[in-house]
Amino acid sequence: MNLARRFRRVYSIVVLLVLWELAALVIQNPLFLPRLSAVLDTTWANFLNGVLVTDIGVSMFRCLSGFTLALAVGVPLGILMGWSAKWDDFWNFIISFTNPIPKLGLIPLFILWLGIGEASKVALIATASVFPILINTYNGVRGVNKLLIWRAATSGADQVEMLQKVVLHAALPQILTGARLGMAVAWIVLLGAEMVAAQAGLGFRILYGGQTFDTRLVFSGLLVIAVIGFTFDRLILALSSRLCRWYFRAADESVAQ
Amino acid sequence: MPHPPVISARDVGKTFSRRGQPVRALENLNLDVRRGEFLSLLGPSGCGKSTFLYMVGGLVPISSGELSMECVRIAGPSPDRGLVFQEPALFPWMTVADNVAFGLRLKAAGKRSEESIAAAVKSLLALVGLEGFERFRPDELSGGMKQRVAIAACLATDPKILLMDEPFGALDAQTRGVMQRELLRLHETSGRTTLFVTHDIREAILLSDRVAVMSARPGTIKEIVDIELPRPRWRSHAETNQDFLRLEGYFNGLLEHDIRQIATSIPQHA
Repeated sequence: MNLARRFRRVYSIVVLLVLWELAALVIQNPLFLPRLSAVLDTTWANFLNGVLVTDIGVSMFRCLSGFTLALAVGVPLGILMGWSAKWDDFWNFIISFTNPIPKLGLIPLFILWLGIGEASKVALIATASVFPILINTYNGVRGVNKLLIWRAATSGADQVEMLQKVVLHAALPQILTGARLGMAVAWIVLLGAEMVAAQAGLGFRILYGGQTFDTRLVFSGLLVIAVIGFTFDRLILALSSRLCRWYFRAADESVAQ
Repeated sequence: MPHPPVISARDVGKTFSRRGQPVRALENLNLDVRRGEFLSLLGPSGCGKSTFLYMVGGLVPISSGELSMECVRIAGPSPDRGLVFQEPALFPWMTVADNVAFGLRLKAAGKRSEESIAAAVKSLLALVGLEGFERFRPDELSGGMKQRVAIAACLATDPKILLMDEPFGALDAQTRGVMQRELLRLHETSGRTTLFVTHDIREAILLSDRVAVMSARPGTIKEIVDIELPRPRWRSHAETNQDFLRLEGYFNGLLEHDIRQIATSIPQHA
């Protein structure tokens, strides 16, 4: 990507932040809309006194544990469903039925089953995050060029070699797209996970800010989640363009701009 | 005692259902592929010649009859039957060398050292005229070069028979000519049994020891013609050699009837 395009991308964010600051200056009601600079002040103060560091640590542990669990379940199951008609037949309706269920509605159940500790929080995040991972993996595997499968089969590949050496590679771009979506969902449902029986965490801090009419704290939490979520998204994207160079080269050729 | 045929097809049929209606794609197909020969399946598009080739490759099951390789029924794909597809089937995430070495690194090929694999890749690439292209990626190659890699990859596991499905059909005319010449040379030096699918009459005459002409709907072998032109053959024969021209006229006559029939029949897959 050239410099001008990089600039255009950053510039849009800068415009948004400037508009925010200006709007807050005009409105002059910090309860309704605090200034960006004030939100940053709060964030900095919480960083210095350690609250923010704890919140980030606690929330990141929950998100990454849930996300890892989701990967561990979603990728293998998605590959098996995409590869084998038997697995597809068994799981397809189960996945289609459970996908639209609002995952926040599971909070009471997870608390009943897993208690009010970390387990129920991680389980909620994993449950929400597994769907985009699984569905993208499944579609990726289904979309693998049949010629490559045939080529491997006539070269003597057995089922395991086929999955390891061909299917996993060919579907990797879609699997990583699923991972990006799953990671985003993990941060989205974090707030729900920290709604009950949490003493720390970014989601907890946002809710706490809401209850104490501390709008600056709410915005601070939202902003921090946005920055962390964005960072992880870029990390997976970077991993993807490293591992799937072949895929992005082909995409660059097929789309001119 | 003569060798048994490499591939033997007895009354092979293929029926599949389309819109709930059974469609007979192949019927009573009888064919022997002899050891060391270059046999072409020549027929109009849609006559089922590629389907038959995939059946020999073990990728498509037969519906009736018997299909065997060296007296063993074909039940699935095997590295003994290497397939070259119309579109070069290369793994886009692998280098040229890894693509060629793919079959050699599978359990089916037995344990091989990386040095011996690298040496094999080097000589295979030399064979198809791609010395020094080991580290290239498929998307850096032209269509003809990709198909050369696909052929090298196919030869890597030393198949007993080479199955080729219109391998030059997607190439431009000049490249196709070059590839035909090189395939001729490859066959004349290695003597590997080859079953070659094409709808190009000149290509079939130029390359083959025998040409099996197929008719369509249902597809079956209409006639098998021996091509007794001396080898080595040259592409220029297609313009000048009287026997070549006579054969071309003969095949044209055989195919014309079928093509007319297809053009006037209601398409089954519309």
